[in-house]
Amino acid sequence: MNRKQTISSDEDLIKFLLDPLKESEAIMFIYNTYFEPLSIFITQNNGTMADAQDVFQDVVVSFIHIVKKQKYRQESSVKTFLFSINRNIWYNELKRKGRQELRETRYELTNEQEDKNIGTILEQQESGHQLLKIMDTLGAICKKILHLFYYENYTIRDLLPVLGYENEQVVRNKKHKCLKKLEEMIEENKDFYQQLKKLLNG
Amino acid sequence: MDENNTLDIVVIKYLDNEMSPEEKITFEERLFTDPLLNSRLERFRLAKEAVKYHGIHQQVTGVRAIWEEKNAAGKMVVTSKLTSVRTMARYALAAAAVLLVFFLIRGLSGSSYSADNIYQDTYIGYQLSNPRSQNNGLNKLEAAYQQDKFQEVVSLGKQDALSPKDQLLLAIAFLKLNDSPSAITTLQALEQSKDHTYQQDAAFYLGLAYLKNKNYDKALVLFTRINKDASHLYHKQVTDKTLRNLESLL
Repeated sequence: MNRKQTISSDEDLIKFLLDPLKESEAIMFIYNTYFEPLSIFITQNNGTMADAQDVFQDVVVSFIHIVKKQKYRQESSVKTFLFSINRNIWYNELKRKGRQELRETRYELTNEQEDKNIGTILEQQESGHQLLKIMDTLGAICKKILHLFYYENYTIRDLLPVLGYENEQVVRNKKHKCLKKLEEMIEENKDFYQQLKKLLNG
Repeated sequence: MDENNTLDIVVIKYLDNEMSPEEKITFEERLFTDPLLNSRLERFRLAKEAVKYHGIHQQVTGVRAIWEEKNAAGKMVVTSKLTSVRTMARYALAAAAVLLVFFLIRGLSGSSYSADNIYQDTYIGYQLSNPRSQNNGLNKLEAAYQQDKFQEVVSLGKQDALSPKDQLLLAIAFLKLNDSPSAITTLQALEQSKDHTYQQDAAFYLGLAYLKNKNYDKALVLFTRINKDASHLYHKQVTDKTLRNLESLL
């Protein structure tokens, strides 16, 4: 009776990505469906399979971020959109590594409306990586508290047994300190702060 | 310094949606006229967004790990097929017949392999080392657990300081009472404990709790780790079949 829903269209995929209980299934679908064709582009353009996997991970993170910010307007198909991100991230990477003769055609985008998003992704790729490094230096406990509270939507009460603190106020104080610490780390570098603003707020 | 801290507390309260409607209106009115408040809000909002971005990255990394393992296994199957196509062909008909019978049985029973089935197949009770007849060396919570009085275990578990062993028993009691969210939070706390004695137990029962709570992807991540680690206490409990069945739920 409890028939399992499957992803059979771009609309389904977007719906699944926006549902916390189905998000992982949607990501797995993206890997199963799009990794192979996208990886061929990388390996045919001076990249290794490891490069293809790393770029694909960036592509998926960027895509989900855009979807969650309600900035993917479906003016091009998911497939076309992912291909564009993949191609442009890889050309950018080659340029960064100095392995690519400069090509004016590197931003061969397919849909004008989506150009802006993809162009933005390229500009902000580096700040995304820098942000991940900052999160890694935040400390395991702080990372866990902030992740559970702001990403997994745990309440302060839910966090209490996870952290083993005496009462909710202690958890609240700890969360406050962690968010403040993160805010200070981000704010330390003005340039990074501005780049991050672009990345996260678009 | 204190003034800034008070301001930050208010900003975070707003950001976390923990203000009353009246407080919210007052705060939002103040935003129009207070640039400092605006600036603090923007900075904390950015920090919150940063956590969310990091969360997406973590989630994709987790799925990528599972996908890579599945992919590696798939490649091994392909290699094996290439080297033994003839042998495989000989068994193909027999395998098809077995599968046909399997699907017929499943079809007739009207149910696919459910999360409950996987749970029942994988679950193993945690046995206290003391013999059933001797309660002398057991504390109250352990004694209640020993006698399958799980509601009593939960009541006793409300005390402040629980040992890692008591935390494990409490989590299993939650599982027995079908309270998987409480089992999850208790086991996550145990996993974070500095005492690593019960960490492998915690991982196994956390996988079960995720399964019961329909967090199949999280259960799969934990069970895959246990399945790959031959030295894990619960390695034999989590078979390749367990993983395949679990994957079919995703």
